[in-house]
Amino acid sequence: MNSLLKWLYQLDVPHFLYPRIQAWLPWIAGFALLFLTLGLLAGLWIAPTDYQQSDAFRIIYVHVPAAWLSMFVYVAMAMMALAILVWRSKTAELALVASALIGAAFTLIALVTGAIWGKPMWGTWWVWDGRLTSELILLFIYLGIFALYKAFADSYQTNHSQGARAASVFTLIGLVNIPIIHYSVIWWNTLHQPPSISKFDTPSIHVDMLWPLLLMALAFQLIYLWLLLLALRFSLLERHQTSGWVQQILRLNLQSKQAKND
Amino acid sequence: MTEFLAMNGYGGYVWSSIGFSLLVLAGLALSFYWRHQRLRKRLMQYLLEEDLANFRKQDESSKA
Repeated sequence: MNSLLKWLYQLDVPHFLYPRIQAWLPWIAGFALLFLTLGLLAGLWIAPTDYQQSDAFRIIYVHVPAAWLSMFVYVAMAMMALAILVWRSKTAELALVASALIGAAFTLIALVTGAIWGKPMWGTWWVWDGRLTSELILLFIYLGIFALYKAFADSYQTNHSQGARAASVFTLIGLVNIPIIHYSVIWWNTLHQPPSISKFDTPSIHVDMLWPLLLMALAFQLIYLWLLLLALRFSLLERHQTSGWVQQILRLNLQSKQAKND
Repeated sequence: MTEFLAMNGYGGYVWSSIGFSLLVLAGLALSFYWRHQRLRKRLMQYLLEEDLANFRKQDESSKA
């Protein structure tokens, strides 16, 4: 337990985190792409055709993982917000801003693929039902968090920590939207269907359609991690570009480059 | 193969969904990656210029 805590504290030390990101990134990227390929193969090819929705149901294999991630990323951001406000974690600051963009991307994917699915199946690109509306609001919240941070970061008196604290407070206030998104299909009986998987019961989806979905969900999780580490790597380098450890790493890179040229 | 692409008539919907998702995610990954590469290149450039300036200074002080 102690060593875990110590390791968590060390994640907040830039020169500890950066080389580890560099080491992990190829693995995470590799696994993300592997599971994405397997998931798409499973969902688009192996999974049986639905008797009601024919092959249009296969949109589920991007729509649902994207929607799940759009909520997962927000909950992760809420924990980062806590780390920023309570422990003033600098890594969490960078991770929060990066996650806002990535979360917005997942939300956008969920909304667009949902609309594309809705047109042939339910006859409309959009309705103002509880689920769709709250997910759209989630998109605006993500963008708002990002814009708020940028407003501080890009001002004359750049204060990243102040911007991060403001963004954190905004994140925690917006957290109420997540249970609304989840329960909206139970509270209101409108267009979007009720939960078939994320409920306290056996899934009401056939197992042959379920396992590719879980595979895609894992793939999207790894993609989030991959994107987060990519963004974090850049932010760390940008923020600490004048520090000694960065200069050291750059020198090593230069030397290996020159060694390659010789 | 054609039935796979046609998706029983829903091919347009299914493939545009998959395509949009992959496009957004790939776009994000690439933009993050390129951003990092550009910064690294620029910082290494600064290092080289700094080294060059130092060498020049050393030269002048040894000649003087």
